[in-house]
Amino acid sequence: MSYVEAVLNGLMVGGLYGLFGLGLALAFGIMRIVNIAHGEFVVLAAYLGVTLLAVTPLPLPVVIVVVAIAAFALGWTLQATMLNRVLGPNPVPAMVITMGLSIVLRNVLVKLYGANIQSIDIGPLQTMGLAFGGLSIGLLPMLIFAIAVVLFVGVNLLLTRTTIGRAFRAAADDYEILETLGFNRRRIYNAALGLAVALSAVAGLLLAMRSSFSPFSGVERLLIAFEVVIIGGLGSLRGCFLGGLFLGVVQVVGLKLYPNSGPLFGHLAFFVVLLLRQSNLGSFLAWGRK
Amino acid sequence: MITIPRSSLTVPVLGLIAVATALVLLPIDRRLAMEVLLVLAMAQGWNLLCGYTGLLSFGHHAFVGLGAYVLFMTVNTTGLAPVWSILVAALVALVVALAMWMLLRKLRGPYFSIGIWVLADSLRLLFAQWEWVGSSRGIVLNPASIDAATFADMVFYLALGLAFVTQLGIFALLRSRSGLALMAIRDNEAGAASIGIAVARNQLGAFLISAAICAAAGAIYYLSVLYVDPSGAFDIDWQIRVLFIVIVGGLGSIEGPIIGIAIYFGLREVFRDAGDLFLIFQGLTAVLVPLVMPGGIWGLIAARTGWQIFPTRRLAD
Repeated sequence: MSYVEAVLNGLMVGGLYGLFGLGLALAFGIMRIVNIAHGEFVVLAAYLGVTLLAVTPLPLPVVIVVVAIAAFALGWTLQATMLNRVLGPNPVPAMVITMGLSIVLRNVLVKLYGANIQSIDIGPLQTMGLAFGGLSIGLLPMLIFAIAVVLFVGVNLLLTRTTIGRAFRAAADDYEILETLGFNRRRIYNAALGLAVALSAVAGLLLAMRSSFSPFSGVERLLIAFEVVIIGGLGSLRGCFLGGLFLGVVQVVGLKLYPNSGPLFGHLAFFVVLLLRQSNLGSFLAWGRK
Repeated sequence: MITIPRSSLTVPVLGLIAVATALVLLPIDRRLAMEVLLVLAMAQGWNLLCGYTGLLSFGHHAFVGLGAYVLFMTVNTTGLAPVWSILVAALVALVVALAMWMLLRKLRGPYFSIGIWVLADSLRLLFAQWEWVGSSRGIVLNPASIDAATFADMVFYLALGLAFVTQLGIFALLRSRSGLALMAIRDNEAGAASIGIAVARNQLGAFLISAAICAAAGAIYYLSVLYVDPSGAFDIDWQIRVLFIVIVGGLGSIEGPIIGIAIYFGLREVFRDAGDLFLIFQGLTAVLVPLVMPGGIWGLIAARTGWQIFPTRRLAD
């Protein structure tokens, strides 16, 4: 694999990282909640996908939709039954609750599926590729990247063109005004976490088609999501997308240089950006308006 | 004048002496006692940072692993006695914590929590790549550096010493002028800042103290097992354990972590034959505590009774 291919692959996996970040950023932007179980939801989606593909005759696109709906319901329920009860300026209770949830999910997955590494087999599409100009690019990564772009565009349209999307943005800015307009703040929060979890779940399922996962992959996914949000600049869709691309490239190229380094290069890039932000040099990195 | 009543020292000091005597004299399981004492020290250190200055760290396992590695490398390469190497471990942790602070100081709230978690994960990955420290295979302590006959007693007394120095040190700190500042920050950060309390400096102080304590505890724990590897020493489970103990016991009090410790190790013994069920139960408890008793168990007791075992409250006379 040449470096050009590594960069292209990084860009394509980066689209998914952007979606992970988007899920985390929506929840934080709208509810001021940091969902520590974010990574476990991502992994849970992959397991749900594996199971549905194995025990039902449903085709892959339908499975993706089913997983997205299930994830939306999960996010809605979590917000409605627990997180709405600890709203407020103090972020600690919600973080503790979701951390507890992440422990529960991780260990339930170990109990159900074992601790082994798994992957999703989706047939011949997995190995098909296109070759042009001496480069060979997998068809599946391109397809997955396309889905990520479509989802980003979709969320952008949702946030700018629909009532619920405008309500999300209003809730992020000033929920009291929102309530005087007759909106139910808690229902908006439920829908927002549902959307956040659904986006991450789809990304998790797509990532599972490209790389293996285990019940313990959640932490890595959470840290990726977090790094994307910080690198991309808080609170902007474009930032999440670009941050995801950047992190994807750094990680894939880093893995090519040092195959055992895991997410180390992503972490290092994160700290470099953090340092640049603290100096004046970093102002050009501040994408987005916020 | 507003002071803490001097007479209030009798109960905690006599109580600590009684507990220490009992631990030394009674025929208890010293291995388990050592672990309990070390985790108590970590929990008190972490609580000083998170309970009082409001910086919720999810990355203190960085210092546990760092302390362990510094001890092993110091003993193996310089031949310094393990006991003194613990001090080296704490000192190195202080320096590293200071460097981390430079990186993290602008991050607040949840950003600090996960930022330090990324740092801890980076350390795990770095140590797993670093050939000099044995990469992912880990390292074994040089057997010539210890005396097998007295080793088990030595690590027990080291753990006992660390736990009691931590306990008394934090108690004394909270009764001092700095303690007043810390409690003011705990109760209202913006208010504390507005009357001239240097919030950031107090946060840095608490961060450094908690880092040194966790490093010393990690050093003693891995000294006792004579072997350290990156996935164990930098395991997030160290952090989860401490967080669980402090949250369940009660954040921002000296008594909370002690109660949390009793519950954590009690549960672990009950679920001794079902480790995965224990973890699930631990997770469920963490989910429920903020919903049903936000102040933890000690918070509930203190609100009902006004008790203080380690008095830090100032009264006007």
